[in-house]
Amino acid sequence: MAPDASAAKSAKDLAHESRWASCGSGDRVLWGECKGSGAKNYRTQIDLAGIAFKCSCPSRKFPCKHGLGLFLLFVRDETLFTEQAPPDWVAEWMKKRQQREEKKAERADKPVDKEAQEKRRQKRGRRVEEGIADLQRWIKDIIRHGIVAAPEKEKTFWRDMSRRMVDAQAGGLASQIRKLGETDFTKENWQTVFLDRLAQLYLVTEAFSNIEKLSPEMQAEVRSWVGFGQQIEELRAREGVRDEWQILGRKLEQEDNVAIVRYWLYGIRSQQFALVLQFHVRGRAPAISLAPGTAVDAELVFYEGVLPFRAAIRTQFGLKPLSPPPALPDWQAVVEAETAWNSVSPFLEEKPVIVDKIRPAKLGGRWALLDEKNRAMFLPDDFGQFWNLLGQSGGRPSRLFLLGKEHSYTPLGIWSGGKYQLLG
Amino acid sequence: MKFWDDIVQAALIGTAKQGLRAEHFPAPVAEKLQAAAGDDAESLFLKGLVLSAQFRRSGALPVDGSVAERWECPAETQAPCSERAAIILESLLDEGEPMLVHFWLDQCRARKLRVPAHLVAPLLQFVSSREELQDAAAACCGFTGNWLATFNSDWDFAAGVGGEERWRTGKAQERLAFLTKLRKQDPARARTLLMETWEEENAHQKAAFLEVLSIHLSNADLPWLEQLQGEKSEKVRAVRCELLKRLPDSKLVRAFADALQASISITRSKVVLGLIEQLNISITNPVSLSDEVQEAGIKLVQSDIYSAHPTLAALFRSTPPGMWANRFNERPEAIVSLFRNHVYYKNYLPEITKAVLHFQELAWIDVLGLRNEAPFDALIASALPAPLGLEYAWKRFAKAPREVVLFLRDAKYPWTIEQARTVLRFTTAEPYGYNKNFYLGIVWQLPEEIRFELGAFGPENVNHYWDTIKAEIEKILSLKAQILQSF
Repeated sequence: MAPDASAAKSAKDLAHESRWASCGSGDRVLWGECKGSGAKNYRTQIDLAGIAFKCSCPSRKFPCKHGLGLFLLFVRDETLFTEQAPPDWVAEWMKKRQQREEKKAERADKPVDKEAQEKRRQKRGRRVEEGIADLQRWIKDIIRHGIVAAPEKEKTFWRDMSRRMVDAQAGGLASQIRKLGETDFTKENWQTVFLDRLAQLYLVTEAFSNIEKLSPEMQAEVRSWVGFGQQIEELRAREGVRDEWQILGRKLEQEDNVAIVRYWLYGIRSQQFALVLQFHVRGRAPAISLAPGTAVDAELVFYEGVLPFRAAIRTQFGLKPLSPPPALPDWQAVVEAETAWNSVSPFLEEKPVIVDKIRPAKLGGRWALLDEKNRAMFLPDDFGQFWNLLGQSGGRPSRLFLLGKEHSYTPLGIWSGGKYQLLG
Repeated sequence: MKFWDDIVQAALIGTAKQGLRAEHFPAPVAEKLQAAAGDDAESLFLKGLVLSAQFRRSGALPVDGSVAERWECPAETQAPCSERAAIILESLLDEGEPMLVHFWLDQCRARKLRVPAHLVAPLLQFVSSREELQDAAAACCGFTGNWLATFNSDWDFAAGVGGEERWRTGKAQERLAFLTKLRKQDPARARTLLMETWEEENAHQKAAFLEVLSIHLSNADLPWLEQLQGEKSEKVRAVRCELLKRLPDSKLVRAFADALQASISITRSKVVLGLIEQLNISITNPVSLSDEVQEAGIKLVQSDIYSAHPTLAALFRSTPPGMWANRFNERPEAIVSLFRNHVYYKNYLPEITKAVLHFQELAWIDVLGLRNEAPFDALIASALPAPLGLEYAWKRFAKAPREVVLFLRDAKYPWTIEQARTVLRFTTAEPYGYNKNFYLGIVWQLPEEIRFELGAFGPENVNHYWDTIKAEIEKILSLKAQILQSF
């Protein structure tokens, strides 16, 4: 949650009883008054249902060290927070938040200018088509001259085409080109990694060129890969799924100045995965913060697509304890599920799976994940949480939450000793 | 997957040189590609590539793992620490605060609890470069820690004593780490293992392994150390000699005592008409020394110095006073008095004092009057058993606060609230001399409740730096309180 390492460190310094003149908790809210260098204490409050922070300090970081410190203190010692009626300054903030939510809902109901919207859509479509024609020529050039030259290419080779796609308003393609150029050419199997990425890029361009022949769900999927965002109004109009969403994984990525947090959720009643992406500019407030290893009672709306994992949180109702979700019994079930997914969507992406009774073992000099039937998948060579996985499993069969494809799976969490622990 | 290898080969070379025809792709792919027969070579290849990648992925099967090497950690028998204690440890590891981690581990170890499995690897990693925490960490990591250490040589310190296979087959550094750990936990077994392989070790390893016996060195090691007399390596002989010097019952120390006895003469004579008996001492410079003594570094020096002959000084320094003095059947007080009252021999008293402290001859500490009005000496304080040493130090606090504070910091015994006030009155008056690290170092000693009195301490001119230090002390004590409550 911390906007940077220094805020995280300062927050830890503040996560001590002695630094707070008072603290308390109420229905879905925490508050505290932090002793600062000035005469007045800083008033800090946290909305637990939506995980939102507010503080009277002048910091431009969000959440500030006081918000984080208060949250950390709560995690460390809940008993310090006596339950009571919130003071006026907390009650007022909570009321304003509620009013803001209501206004948001009202705004969503306002009619939009459909004609202008369609014009804009067509204009963008033409720019993307032109960009894609250039991109296809570029891909064919690579294949004509052979990928053997790819490792020697200058950075500008990838960057220029990526920028061309940004100009063509195809941000999704730009990102895939960047990724193609970032292939680790020092690795033994770089050719397969590179060709997979190139094939994916080509597939998206071909699919977009023939988009009118595709189903509406597939069209949405392809458009999303190209870089078309779904209109928030359209998203809001979709039916939501209220469930107890188990927050099973969190992956952080940094693209330029934008932090991307990928939260993997699993709905305990709907039995489906959801991927909630959180984009925020450094130092600015993220719209949501989810705590992995907990569950949230929330309504999610899924983006349109053939395999709709991507979702947005429409409403959060509160936190819930984590309950163990069902799991696939072995790797055979995983590959069958993967093949079924591939038959629905040809777009290559790591898939989320929960698999039971998996143990780490060494196979042919590599660390592998073995199921009960002695069938194995491999851990990626750069898996940084190996010792943690080994320590938590004790080499015994455990239930894991993983992301992966083909023969490579990355554990993101483990159920160990009746509890769920994140790996990483 | 030959078809994929063919595709990779063709992609490397490029379609300008080598195209792929539909029949080179897997049959289902080739069938689909017929629809694109009229395409240019690049389009045909790319479409084949997309379909083949999909074909490959969808046909992937799990690998046969029946030959995989599997290990299982024994089930834990110790109870884990509380969830709250685990949360605190996790944040301490995250903050990178070794002293507080050490304090946490001490609490865990004292209660015979263990670190929960999800924190074992992060803890081992944290302490792998902090030797002073390793014993405590190893004691709190349960079987999981022992087990993980068998896969990671950086964590050897946590390998259980059962890992004797490592001693037999490990690399030199791994073996040394194993022996060191075993010696701390089971000194006799460590000695036995070393004795078993002694003849197979090279001189360098012998010296390194023998040095490990300095941990928990005792008379039980003596018979074997004495046997090693014939060792050829100078390095090994030097290590053996240092070990023997520390054991008063060794032949070497007895040889020192013999040499001293040969030089010292204490006689009785009658004075004042034979009515009063008087003790006399005379010390002659040694004329010869046994080979054993000389090999231990005490050389026969020709000197006319009466005040403190170098050879005798070295012998006094290396021999427990009781050992040579008892041979004269005189009380220690009488012997000390002889030295003290002699114009030259009194110069040997500092050497005798060193030996008293080195061999911790408590009776002689009092005989020499070291605990009476003498100024604070950390060596004396350390040589005394804990309660006496602390009492000795506290009594001298007013006269030597700096030295006493350092001793008390290292002694790791809890202070009463009044003692804590005494120390803080002195240290907080000098915020630039006693910083955050100093207060982290006395987290064991400071009572938590002193945090409510911190406003009463500080330098005469309150400054911003003191405010920062005060906040740090509050934080440290608040964390200490949280740690203690969490267990």
